[in-house]
Amino acid sequence: MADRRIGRFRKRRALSPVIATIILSAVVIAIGGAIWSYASGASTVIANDYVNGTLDLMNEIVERFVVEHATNTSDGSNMSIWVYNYGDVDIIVDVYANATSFNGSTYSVRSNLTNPVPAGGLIEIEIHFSTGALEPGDTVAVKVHSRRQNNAYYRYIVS
Amino acid sequence: MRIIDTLSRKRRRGVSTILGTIIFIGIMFTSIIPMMLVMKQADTIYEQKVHEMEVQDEEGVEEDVNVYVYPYQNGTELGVKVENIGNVPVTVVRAWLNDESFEINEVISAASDDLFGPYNVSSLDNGTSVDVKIVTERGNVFYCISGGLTWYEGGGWSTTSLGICVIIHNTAGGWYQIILHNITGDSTHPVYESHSKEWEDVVASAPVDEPGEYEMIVQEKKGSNWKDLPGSPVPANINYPNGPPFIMIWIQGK
Repeated sequence: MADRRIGRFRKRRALSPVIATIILSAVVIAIGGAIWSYASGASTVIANDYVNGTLDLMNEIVERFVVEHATNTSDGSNMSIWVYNYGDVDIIVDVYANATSFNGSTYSVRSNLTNPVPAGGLIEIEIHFSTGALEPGDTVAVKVHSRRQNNAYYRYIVS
Repeated sequence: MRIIDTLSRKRRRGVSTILGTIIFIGIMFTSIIPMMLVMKQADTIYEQKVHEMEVQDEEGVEEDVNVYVYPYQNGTELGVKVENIGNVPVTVVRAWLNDESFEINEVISAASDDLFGPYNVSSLDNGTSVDVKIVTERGNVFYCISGGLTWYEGGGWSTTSLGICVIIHNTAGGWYQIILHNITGDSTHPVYESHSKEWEDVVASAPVDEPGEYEMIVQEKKGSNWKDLPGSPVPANINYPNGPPFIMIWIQGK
C-alpha cells in the first residue's frame, strides 16, 4: 500500500529540475523585460518633461523687455507704446493701460492682447480709448504683461 | 545519491535571483542613471543661464551715460552726443527725438564718447520742444541731461540755461558763503551767504550766460573772517554742448 503511494508521487514529479529552472528563468526574464521596458519608457518621459520644464523656466528668466516710449494722438483717442524686447527669446505681451484724470478719477482702462515681439525687436502697440479721450495732464499707467508672467511698467503723462 | 541531488538543486536555486539582479542593474544603468544625468545636465544649463542673466543684469545696472543734444548751425538738424561714463561698454541701439526713432547700433567703450547724427526732426512748429533719449542694448533708456531743445522759426534752436549748483554737506552747522568766479570773463559774483548759523545742507545754484571756465569759491566763517573750505575753489568749466550744461558740485562743510 505504502509502496503504491510512493510510486504515485514519483510518477507526478514529471518536471525535471532543469526544466523548472528554465521556466522560472523565462518568467523572470519576461517580467524583468517588461519592467525594464516600462522603466526605460517612463524614465525617458520623465527626463523629457523635466528638460522641457527647465527650458520653459529658463525662457522665463531670460525674458527681458521694456517700454521704451509712449505717445498719444492729438485728439487723445489713441495711445501708442513701443515695447523693446532685449532678451534672447520671442515674447507675446498683453498691454493694459489705466488712465487717470488729473483730479484723480480713473476713467478709462484699455487693453491690447496678444502682441508678439521678436527677440531684439521693437514693436509699436496702439491702444484705442473709445469711451473717454485722453486729455493733457492725465496719467496713464501702462502694464506690459508677458505670457511667461513677467511684467514691465511705464507711467505716461499725457501732453 | 540524495546528497548529490540536494547539492545540484542548491546550485540551480539562485539562477532566477541572479537574473533578477542583472535586470535590476540593467534598469539602473540604462534608464535611471541616464535619466538622472539628463536632469542634472538640464539643471546645470539652467544654473549657467541664471548666472549669465545675473551678470547681464549687473552690467545693465553699471551702464551709465550722459546724453547731450545740440543743434547744427543753420538748420533743423540735431546731433546727439553720448558719453559713456560707466565701467562697461555700451551699445546704443536707438535714439529718440520726440516720437521719431533713429536706429544706431554703435558700441561706445567705457570712458569714451561718440557723436550721432545729424538727425532731421520732422514737423517742427514754432515753439516745438524736442526731447531726446537713447536706448541701449541692455534695455536702459537714458534721457538728455540738458533737457530738450526748443525750435523757434525766427531764431532757430534755443538751448537750455547753463548753470552751476553747489551742495554743502553741512553736518556740524556753520556759516557759509558761495562765490562764482568767472575765469574767462575775470569777474566774481556772490551766489549765497548765510545770515545765521545753518544746520541743514546748503544748496545754491548760479546761472551762467555762456560756456567758459568757472570756479566756485565755497567759504566758511571763522570768527569774523571767511576761510575756504577744503577743496575750494572748485573748478566748474562749462563746455556745452561738448559737456553738461549744468554742473553739480558737492563739498563737505564744517
